[in-house]
Amino acid sequence: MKFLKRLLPSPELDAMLGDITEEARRRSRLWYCGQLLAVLVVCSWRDVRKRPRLALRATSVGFATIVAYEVAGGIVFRVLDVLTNGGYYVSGYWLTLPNVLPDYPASMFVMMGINAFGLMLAGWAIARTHRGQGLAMALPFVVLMAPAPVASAAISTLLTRTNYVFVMHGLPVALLILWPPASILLGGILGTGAATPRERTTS
Amino acid sequence: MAGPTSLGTNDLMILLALMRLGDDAYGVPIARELEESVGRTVALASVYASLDRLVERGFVETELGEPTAERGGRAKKYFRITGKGIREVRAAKQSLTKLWKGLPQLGGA
Repeated sequence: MKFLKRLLPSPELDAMLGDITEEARRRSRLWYCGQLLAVLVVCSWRDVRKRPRLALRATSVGFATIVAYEVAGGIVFRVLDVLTNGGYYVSGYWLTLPNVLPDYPASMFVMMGINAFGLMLAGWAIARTHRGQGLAMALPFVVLMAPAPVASAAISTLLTRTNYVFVMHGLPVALLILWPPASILLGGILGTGAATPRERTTS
Repeated sequence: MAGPTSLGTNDLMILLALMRLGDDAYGVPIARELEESVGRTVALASVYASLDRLVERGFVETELGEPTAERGGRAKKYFRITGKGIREVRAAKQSLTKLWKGLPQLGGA
């Protein structure tokens, strides 16, 4: 319950949680968990529908974080690429690095991990900048980002007219679909915390 | 003559449950009434979401009760149908009755 209050810090939640506590005595554990999950989903969406401008701002924060992460990541990769392929000549010395990146297909999982971290960071940034709403404001971003890998796979398949690499290497489709939302939500959960009184009143 | 109703089936069922329960209408008994009607488990969160919409439209009003130990120290939130809500239920009944008239009897229903 405390964890749920952290994810959904609405004062209106108390009566609902009280009802669930009261009814839980004559119901199963599964019913209890289902009700808590329903509270999280339904109340978060209600929060988003009631505050569309805030939801838009949260989504913008998410996209801005992803773009900043990708730009920074691009620079780091460019530097690593030069260091592992000849190196930089600085003050009479060659700065180089051994190529430690794994070969394909292991490199694909490394890239997935790096992207997952970026999505986690976006989720964290959204929750951190909207602490009055808990995890709710991360949901529109989750919905927008969820189809991204599938769309990317479909586009790659159409352009190259071959089976997409993920499918070829037998990666479960469920994992392909679930990792972006899961990463954003995990980051969002880590970013939630007690809102300041100002955050509670202005949001 | 009442005008056409804007109530959905869920909203109408909740308003009828509130009318049946009277002063004892809070989340748990409302959900039980609905479960008996539809014959499956109802999520309390969706009941509250519907009630929230009905409150916004002025069909329902709320009042907080006292916190109790069996609810983990949380107060009950009581819901009561307003005059506007009762008029809306009447309008819904009239609309449905009108639609029902002239239909051949539903076999087995």
